[in-house]
Amino acid sequence: MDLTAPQTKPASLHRDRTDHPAHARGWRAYAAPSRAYALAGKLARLFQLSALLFGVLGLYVGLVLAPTDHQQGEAYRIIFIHVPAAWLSMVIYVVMAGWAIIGWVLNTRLSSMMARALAPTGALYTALALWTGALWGRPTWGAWWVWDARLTSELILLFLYIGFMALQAATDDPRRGDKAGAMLALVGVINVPIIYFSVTWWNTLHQGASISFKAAPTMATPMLLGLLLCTLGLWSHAAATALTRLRRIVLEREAGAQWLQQLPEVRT
Amino acid sequence: MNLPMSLHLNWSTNWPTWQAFFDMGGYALYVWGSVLVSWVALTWEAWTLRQGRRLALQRARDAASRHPGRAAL
Repeated sequence: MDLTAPQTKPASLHRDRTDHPAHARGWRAYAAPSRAYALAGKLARLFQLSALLFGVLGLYVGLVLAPTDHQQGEAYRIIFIHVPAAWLSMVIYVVMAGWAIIGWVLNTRLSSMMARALAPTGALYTALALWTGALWGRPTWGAWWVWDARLTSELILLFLYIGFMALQAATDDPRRGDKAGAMLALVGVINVPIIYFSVTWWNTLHQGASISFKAAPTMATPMLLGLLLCTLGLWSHAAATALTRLRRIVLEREAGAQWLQQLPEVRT
Repeated sequence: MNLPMSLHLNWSTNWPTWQAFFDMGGYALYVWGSVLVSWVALTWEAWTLRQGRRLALQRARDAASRHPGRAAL
């Protein structure tokens, strides 16, 4: 077979209905990697801007305007980085597992690519939550690390992320890797409620939830505002990085596809 | 209507001097250490993403020149 000859029809068995945007209408058309690639580029730029805006504003409110805590002094200001990172580490895992399972069940390649794109950012936020937690633990508990339920379950989350990425990286066939990763992600989801409720279920050194949906906030308004702004900033950053990584994965997986060869950045 | 929190914000800074701001009440190592490690981590991630995109684009160009029109994997 002459591989240099141009082919008019895609031949791979891995291609699915979403590769033909004419088959999908409305938002489902974006399941086609070609359309998702363009949309992800536009959205990533928007999220980069909002990450910068909310991040700077949140850190300004948190580090400059928010009052001193009457118990922990200024050490509590680590909350503005630690808590958003810890929240996002759990949220990203659930979203990642969701995309991985959708990709597994519906056989939509883009969903699996989205799960792959989220994993490194989730792992980085988990590592940040653990690191800033150690920096907070030292002055308040007198220890960088304790084998506490909250800390240990968060560490397990980091291992789950690393396992997910390692499993996929070690599998040559991308679709087999997607399916194996989805299975691991699904099993690991059980860890997320364990992390969240660990401070309620067990006697731990870690303080309780910073914000409860059932009760009015107990912290001063600038503290709460700073926390919410930093969370929005990190959330936007996670979206921007995941979408940028999704574009890279699409470039790698689709290398050679005709639509990709028509892109100005590939043609030059 | 009862709001869950006061919407009144005091927009004046918490710090009397720049020195006090940088000292962070004696917790400078921990607070600024957290800010620094986060900044380094996010910058590193942005740099690896940029490098990854550059490599992926190069591979896509190579693939396009070798096998024009080949189907995706």
